Formats: sequence, structure tokens, C-alpha cells
Amino acid sequence: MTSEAAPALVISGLRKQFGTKQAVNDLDLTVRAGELYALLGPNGAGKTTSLRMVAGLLKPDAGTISIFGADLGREPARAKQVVSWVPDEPMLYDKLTALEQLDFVAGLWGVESKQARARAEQLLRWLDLWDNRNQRCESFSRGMKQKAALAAALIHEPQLLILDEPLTGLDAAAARQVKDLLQARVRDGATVILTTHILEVAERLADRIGIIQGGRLLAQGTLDELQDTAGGGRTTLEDVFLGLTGVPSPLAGVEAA
Amino acid sequence: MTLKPGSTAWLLRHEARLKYRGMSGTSRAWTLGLLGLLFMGLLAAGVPMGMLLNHVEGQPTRALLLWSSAGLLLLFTLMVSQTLFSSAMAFYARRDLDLLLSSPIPASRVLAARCLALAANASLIPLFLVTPPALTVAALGHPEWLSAPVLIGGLGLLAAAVGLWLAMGLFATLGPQRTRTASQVLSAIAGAAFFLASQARNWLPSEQAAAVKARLNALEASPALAPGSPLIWPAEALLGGIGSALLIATASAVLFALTVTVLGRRFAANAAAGAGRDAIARPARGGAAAFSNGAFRATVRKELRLLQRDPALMSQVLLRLLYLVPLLLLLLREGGEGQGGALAPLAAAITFMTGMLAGSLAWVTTATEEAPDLLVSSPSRPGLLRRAKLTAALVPVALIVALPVGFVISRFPQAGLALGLSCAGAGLSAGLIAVWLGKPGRRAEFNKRRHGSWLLNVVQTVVDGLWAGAAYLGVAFGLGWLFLVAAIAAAVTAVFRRPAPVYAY
Repeated sequence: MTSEAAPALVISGLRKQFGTKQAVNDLDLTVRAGELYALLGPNGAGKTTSLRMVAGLLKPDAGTISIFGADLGREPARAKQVVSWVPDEPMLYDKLTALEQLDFVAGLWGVESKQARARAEQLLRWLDLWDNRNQRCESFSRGMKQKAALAAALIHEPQLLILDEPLTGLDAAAARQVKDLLQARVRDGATVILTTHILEVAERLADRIGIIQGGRLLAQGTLDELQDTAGGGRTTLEDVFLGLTGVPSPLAGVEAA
Repeated sequence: MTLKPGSTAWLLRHEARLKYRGMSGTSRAWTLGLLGLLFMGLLAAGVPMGMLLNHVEGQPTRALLLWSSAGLLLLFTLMVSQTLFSSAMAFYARRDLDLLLSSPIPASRVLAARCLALAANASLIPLFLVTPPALTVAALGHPEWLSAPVLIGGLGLLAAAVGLWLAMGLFATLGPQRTRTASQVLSAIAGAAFFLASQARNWLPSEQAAAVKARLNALEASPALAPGSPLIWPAEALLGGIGSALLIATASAVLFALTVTVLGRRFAANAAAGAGRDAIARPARGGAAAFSNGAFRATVRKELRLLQRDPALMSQVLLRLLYLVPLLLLLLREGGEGQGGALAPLAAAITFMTGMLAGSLAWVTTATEEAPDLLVSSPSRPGLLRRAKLTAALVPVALIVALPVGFVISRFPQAGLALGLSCAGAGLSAGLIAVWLGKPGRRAEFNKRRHGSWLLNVVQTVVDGLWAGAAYLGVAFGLGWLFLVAAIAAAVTAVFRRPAPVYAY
């Protein structure tokens, strides 16, 4: 992790409203280059909306997003060139094979064909999909689809990888592969932002954690820093998360009695 | 009305509700309004018919019976083609069968309701057209004419039974996935067969056409088609023969019930067996080829692959080319005989079909994008991606149209040039209009692509018509006329130009 490097992502005063619902409300967030950042929050907290704005899929009502110094509003192509977005539902074409999927995505990001081919082989082998490379994605299991989408997202070697619930529906082996790959990307200098409801994943993988609720950032930092912020002797991330978001334990009253 | 949950009527209402909800809100209101008006008109149409019948005595003439038989044969063929396709979709494409069969409702009832829905679907339109005038005629003193709706209902049941047997046969020989495509192809061919046959006089060489006519005359005089013959019963039933109508309806109902009993469980078993078959790993040819360079090439390649790998969709798009067959045969006849008299209307028809085909494919490549977020999150420019998708749509059209254009060029160079230019213009215009005005949809909704987009319908038809006119004038009177009308077509197309989609960034 290089703390001196320019931040991977700087979000300032980000706002987004859907009808009367304020999904994102003056969000300020900075993610350092080369770190794995976990964005946590209850359902409807504004995590996915915020990240969709970072991926260039939604335009904010107000605020700015800067990706490695490129203002997304002013230089969208430059900013998007270094980002990959992996939603919880894999963006795949059912009738394309895994290899063809990677071919298409490489083309979209302008990766030179020979380089893309070599990179595709490396990624598919890493994710145990090489033997399935010529099978159409419609025949893949949920885990295989998620891995194929991840391989496609990595084909252009993004500096910033954004994943929304990347472990949803994966079995233990596939989840381990994905986690290992993300950590490897971070070791290689990339920045990873992920959302997850599995707090243990954030606890084990993330360098820093941000907790968002009602479209605002409640707290961020390492696990130790969050424990200090939450106070009250909270030792696990789950305790910290529930304490900060104000969700009481259903057994709290019972235990007290 | 409260129906007992789980009853056959309750299940039928569920089917009807799904069908009704399949229409968009706007089209629902329009459709119901139009149907109401049409119903009143049809009721009124029964008045002159009833009055006319008061002055007609005796049995229908032999010629009337024969024409009615031919019409009923056409109707029945169309009904069978519809039930064949619908049964394949109802049992192998809809995903709610697992839910229904896992419920405590007896499987036989679920399947009977679904089969009844197939029969109702096939006979609904003809019943709607026949029943109101029959009611009026009956009220005017000819109740025997209620035989017509009874007959149509019976034919619907019979068509459903035949469609189910055919679908089962296809399943046994081709498997679940191909059954869907094959049923689609077969149903379209059945529908188009009558059109092709009706045009036989035009496209058959004159000697063969005369021979066919002689055979038809001999058939007309055959005792098998004399009044009272079983082959004529349906026509008699249509024209007031209540006894024949009841006989046909009863026999059809029995056959339908037997079919549902015999095939119902087999269908359910097949559907269960077929449920996971889509997921069977199928290698794709040429998948390991070299990667593309650049977003344009990658997108063209991706779209062509997706078109190629969706046989059900492609058959829907390409089957309309069946209607070109008589035109092409006529073209070959004209070319072979060294004549060019009918070239101008043929060129117009081919140009019109080119526009339709290009518009359909352009809608598929641009409006049915499966991963729009992927494109939006990429650094590729939206305009470039849109051009690539349009290119991918026009490539197959160009390949198909090259055949007649090449043939005409080889025989009549100037007419061929005019045809080639107008086809190119029609394809490009129709493609651009589909790109600019097409509303996003799913590939499975290809047949509904024009619902709720009247502007697309009107503009596409007008522009296709203009290009067809340009082709006609170009072939008949020279290229100067073609350029004049082509300029108008291009101007109309340009009016509807829309900028590339605005991404968030």
C-alpha cells in the first residue's frame, strides 16, 4: 500500500435523489491507491447507488468523483479506462462463450488483441475456467458466471476494481478463489472497492472499511479505528456495524433480563 | 366472480390473466376499445346477412361449399400452426410449470387447463369474428346459423390436439430446445404455404399452371367433394348445418380429451426433463479464434455471434423471407425468358422486404442489448458502438439481398443497379430508424417490438414504401427517377435522426 500515491477515488459532496428518496446524501469518501476498501451498510443505505455513480452508470445530482486524478464528469473516457465494475448480477451474454466474452470486453477497453488473448488465458486458468472457455455462459453455474464476469472485468488490468456483493451465491471454493484473486490484485498495486453483507469477509480482507447509512458515511477506517469510534467495548466488526447503524440485537432485551 | 382456487376454471383464468397482462397498458386500452367497436360492427353485419337469408331457399351451391371448404382448410392449418408453436412454448419455454406441478393441484388438471388455453387461443379470433353476426342472424329467424361458432370451437379443440401430437413428435425426435425452433419454423411454413400456393399461378411456368388448374377442376367434380360427403361436412357446418357442426365439435372434444389424457403426463415429464437442458454445456464453434482489435470490431463480432446463436429469433426474422419465394421464382422465370416486364413491381417488393428485414435485425442488435451497463461503464463512445451494432445488422441483409440483386444485374444491368441502390438505401434507412426510434426490449419479445411505438411503425412503413417506390421508378423509368424518390426517402429518414444515447458520462 502506498500512502503517498494519489488517491484512487475521491468522492466529494455526492448526492443522488430518486423521487422523494435521497439515496446518496452529501457523501464524501476517499479510497487510497492500492488498498482493499469494503463499503458496508444496511439494505438501502446507498452503497450500490454510490458505486454505480463511480462506475459512470448514474449521473449524480451534485458532487464530484475523481478517479486517479481524472474527473469523471469532465474526462469520462480517461476515468473509465482504469475502472472495472462487477455488479452482483454478472454482466454476461448468455450465448457467448467465456473466451468470447473476454474478447468483447477487451475490445471495449481497447486492449491489443494478442495481449488480451494471453491475459484471458491467464485469468481463465487462474479461475479454473480454462477448460470451460469454449462453453456458452448460459450453461455456467452461478459461481462460474461470477468468475467469468470477474475475469472479463480484469482483462484490461484495471487500476480500480469495484465489486458489488462479489461473493453472493458462490460456494466455498469459488469464494476462496475470488478472495485470493482480489488480494493478489491488491498486492500487484490495484485498488479494490467492494460491498458485502458478509462482515467476516470485510473483516478479513479489507485494509479499511467504510460504513454508510442513509446515503451518508457514518465512519471509516481500519477495524481498530472503527472499534475506537464505536466505543462501548465493541470487539467484532458485527458489533461495530450494529452499534453505528443503530440496529439493536434482537436478543438484547432477553440477555439483559 | 369468485372461482374455486385450484379448479380448472381458476387455472384457465390464470392463463387468461397472463395473456392479458402480456399487453402493455396503452395497447390494452386501445385493443379493448377497438374490439368493442368491431363487435358492434359485426353484430350489425349480421342484419343484411339475415335479411338476405330470408330470400334464399334450398341448400348451398357446390361451388360455395368448395370455397368454404378451402377457407376452412386454411383456417385449420393456421390454427394448427399456432397451437404447435404455442404448445412448444407453453410446455418447454414457460418457467411456471414447475411451480404448478409442485403444487397440490392434480397434474392432470394443470395440463388440461393449459391445453384448453391453447385451444382457446387458437380459436379466439375466428370465434370473435363469426359469433356476433351468427347471433344476429339467429335472432332474425335462422338459429341454425349458430352452427358456425360451434364449428369454430370444435376446430380449435381439434387443432390443439393435432398441435400437441406434433409437438410431442418433435420433442421425441429433436429434443426440447430444437422443438421450440422447429415448431416456429413449421408453423411459419404452414402459414406461408397457402400464400405460396395462392401465388402458384404467377410463379409456375405457364404449362404447369395450366396442368394444376386442370387438376383442380377434376377435383371439383370428384364425388368425394359432393354435398353430403364427410369432407364437405365442415363447410356444411359453417353454412348452417347444425347437425354437422355438433358432430364435428363432439368428435373434436373427444379427441382433445383423449390427447390430454394420453399426452398430458408425457408432456409434463418432457418439460421436467427439458428444464435443465438449456444449461447443458454446448461448445461454440470458432470460440478460440484470435481476439478482436478495437471496440467496433469486437462489437460487430459479438452481435453477429449472438444473431447466429439464436435460431428461434433468426427463424422469426428470416421466415418472412418465405413470402419472397414466389417473387424470386417469378424473377427467375422472367429472367429465364429474357423478359423484364414484371421487374419493376418485383424490385419494389424486394426493396420493401429488404427494409423490413434490416429494420428487424437493427432492432435486435441495438434495442435488445443484454449487458447495457457493461457498455456504459466502458470508455468506448456510444456513437461508435451504435454504428457497430447497425453494421452487424446490415451484414446478413446484404448477404441475402446480394442473390436477387446479382441475378438481376447479370440479366438487366441498369435495372439491377437500380435494385441494388434502392435495397442499400432501404436497408440503411430502416436500420437507422430502428436504431433511432426502437424502444429497448428483450429478444424473446421480438414479435412485440412494435407494440407501443406507433411512430416506429408509421415511419418504418413510410420509408420502406418510399424506397420501394424508388426501386419501381428506377427500374421502370431510369435512375433519375430513383434518385428523386431516394432523396425524399433519405430526407424523411433524416428527420427522425436521434443523437447517440446519452450516458451518465
